[in-house]
Amino acid sequence: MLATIITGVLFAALVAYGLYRTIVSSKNNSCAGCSGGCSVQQQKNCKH
Amino acid sequence: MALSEAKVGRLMEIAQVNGPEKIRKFLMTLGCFEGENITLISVLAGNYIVAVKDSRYAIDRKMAQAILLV
Amino acid sequence: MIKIALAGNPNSGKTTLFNAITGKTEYVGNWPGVTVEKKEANLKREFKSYSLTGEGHGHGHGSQHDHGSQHGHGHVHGHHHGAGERKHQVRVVDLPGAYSLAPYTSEEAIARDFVTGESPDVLINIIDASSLERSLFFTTQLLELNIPLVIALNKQDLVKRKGNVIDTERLAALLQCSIVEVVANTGEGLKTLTAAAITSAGRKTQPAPEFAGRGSLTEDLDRQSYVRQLTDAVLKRGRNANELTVSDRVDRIVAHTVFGLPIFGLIMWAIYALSINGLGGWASGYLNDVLFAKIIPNAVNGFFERIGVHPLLQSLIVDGAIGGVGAVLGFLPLIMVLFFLLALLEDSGYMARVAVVMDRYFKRIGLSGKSMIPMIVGTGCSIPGIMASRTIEDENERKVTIILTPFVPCGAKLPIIALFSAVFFPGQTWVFPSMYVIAGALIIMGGLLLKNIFPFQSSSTFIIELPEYRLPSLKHALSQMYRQAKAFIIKASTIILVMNTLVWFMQTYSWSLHVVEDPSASVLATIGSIIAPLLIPLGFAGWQAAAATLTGFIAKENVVSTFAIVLSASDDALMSTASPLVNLFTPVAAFAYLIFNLFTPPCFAAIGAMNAEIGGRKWLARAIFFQLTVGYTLAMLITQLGTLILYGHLAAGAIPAAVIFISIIAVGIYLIRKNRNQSLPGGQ
Repeated sequence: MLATIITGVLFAALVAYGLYRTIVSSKNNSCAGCSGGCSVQQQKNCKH
Repeated sequence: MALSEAKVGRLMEIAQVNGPEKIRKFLMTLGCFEGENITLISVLAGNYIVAVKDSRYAIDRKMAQAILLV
Repeated sequence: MIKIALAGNPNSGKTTLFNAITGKTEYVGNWPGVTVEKKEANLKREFKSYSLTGEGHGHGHGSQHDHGSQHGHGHVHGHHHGAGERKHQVRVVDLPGAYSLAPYTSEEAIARDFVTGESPDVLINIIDASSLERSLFFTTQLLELNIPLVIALNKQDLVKRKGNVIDTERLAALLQCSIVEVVANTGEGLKTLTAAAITSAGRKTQPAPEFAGRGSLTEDLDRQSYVRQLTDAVLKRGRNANELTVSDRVDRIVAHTVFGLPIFGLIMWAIYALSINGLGGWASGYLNDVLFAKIIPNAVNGFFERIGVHPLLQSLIVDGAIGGVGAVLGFLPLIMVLFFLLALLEDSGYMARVAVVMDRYFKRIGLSGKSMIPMIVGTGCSIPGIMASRTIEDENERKVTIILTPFVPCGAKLPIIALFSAVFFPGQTWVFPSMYVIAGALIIMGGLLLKNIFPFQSSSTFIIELPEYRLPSLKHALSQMYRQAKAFIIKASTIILVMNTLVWFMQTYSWSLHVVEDPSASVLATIGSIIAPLLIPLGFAGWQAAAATLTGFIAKENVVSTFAIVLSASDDALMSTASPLVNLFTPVAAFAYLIFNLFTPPCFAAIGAMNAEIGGRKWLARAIFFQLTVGYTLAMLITQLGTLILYGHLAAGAIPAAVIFISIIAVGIYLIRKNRNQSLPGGQ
């Protein structure tokens, strides 16, 4: 039971981080990892 | 005579550049304007390879016709 | 904080320099127009600490090279810097290339807006020493901005090869700014350069060059004659620039009117064949069939069973996460080899010639060779490809290029091609290159269609600088390969992982949140079944194919990972000739499925980029509709005609397919007619 909870929490954290990265990059018009992104309008706060 | 009719490999002088102002200005920044030298290096795949100020450019037929030589 | 901006002509080496002094790995190519966005990063520590110990005097020019020593080589003038400034951050901004401050294309405008609007503390003007005179035109404009300027004289190796000599001391004195000779590729002179830049930043002002006619109507002409005087004073030409060089001779072959296109085709075929059949393909096969199919799942299963993890969680992690991500990661070696070879080709300078060769064909569809640049960039990822369309000055041409660029199979689509060709067409090298040939044909036909559907006045003119050929740098190719690999891994461990988790949940649970015995009662199956009927005319039966296509819109690699999860019950590896995929598709339908996933609208991120660049929702909707129709129609034709010809019978859904095909043709003809009538004189 404990093993399930620990593994579950670790995995959930990993997926949550992936989701966070995905949302951040999609705001910059890009996929996570892809070097492109940032439209003309978004240049100022673009993190790429 | 237009650049499109020039002989390959001969150093020529530009007499006049025609065409829309925007393109004329752009060519000017590259050093392609009246009084300057230009050499037609070759004609490849419908484009004209020219030497202007130590650099090589490929320009299309329309542009080559707009550059008149002395 | 000190802000350094890098400005200069296209292909003068700005991004190479940027990468070298910031430690970034931004996309670099030996052809003009690669950078269309400004990019920012912090200066690497080693350059900062060095520069602040450098204290100088001198004649306003940098020492020629630093010799790796840490002290006292910044022979540049300026003020003494206190130790307190060590803490200061130094930001470096890489700008798109421009030939002048008066912009010709929108990415040139980015450079101008930045240097005039955001007032950097110091400008580093990178000059390609082999075209000094042209570069100085822009330099003299930058000098008038009253921002301290340092010139980085790059590519001196090329100059010396030509037998030319540049008197840098004289030039520095004439322009009243520091000049540092650098070789951005090897890193030579960069410490001196950054030291000079930081020292100059403290100067705050920059004297403008004085020439007759400044501010007058004929300013450009006067500036040119001033630049010519400057050049004559400092440049000794060893050889006539108009002589035929080796580059010119090579051009006559590779950009030949008849042989240019076949040579390009042959080179691309060789690159893909090498990646797939060589080391990359072999390593990918191993990863897919052994590492991610057996070793890792077995180890993790064993571990979880020992510590007693719930079987459902175990299935989520092993079948969902590892199975799905592994199916994509397995293709990493193949992709690395491919991008390594492509980087070598790019670095040689060949790509600019491809634009020249393709210009003729693009002219037929109202575009020009410039449209080739976004498409070449698009072989990596459609997003930078779509953004690279900014180098196209004509608005209509730009729109059409944006619509057509996603047809080029991007890196994310490679796993789909690799999977389907390994399962259905083992050992056949034509499948990979054929996708690019089909892409090329679709681009030409799609362009023709767009030209006839929408009232475009093409005013395309084409001009591109041809850089001299050079021996590709191994270091450059390795760093570009690393960049792609990193992006691929990040993508697999973020967006793909998230989607795989979601797919696993959706195929394990029913709508009432009960675990299902039979996956065809799952959430995923019911969603897939809604779309599945639409895919029957295309020859794709079952909800699995529909579900995989849907997840593919989030990221194209998901097509592969979704199949891996949905078909994980099977004992046979996904990427083998006994793959469970064989039960879903006939080889003809498999080929059609491949086409469908490659040529329908790209992933949502690329659609976002299209939205930002195409100018308006209306055009975005048109673009997506167009891409969807093209992919759908082509896949349908392949299945229906292929089944009839190769198997000798009608495919399922032949009658609806015929009806759909006829209606698409009818709509197409209607749109073309409508446009013809509108564009008739007086018809508007």
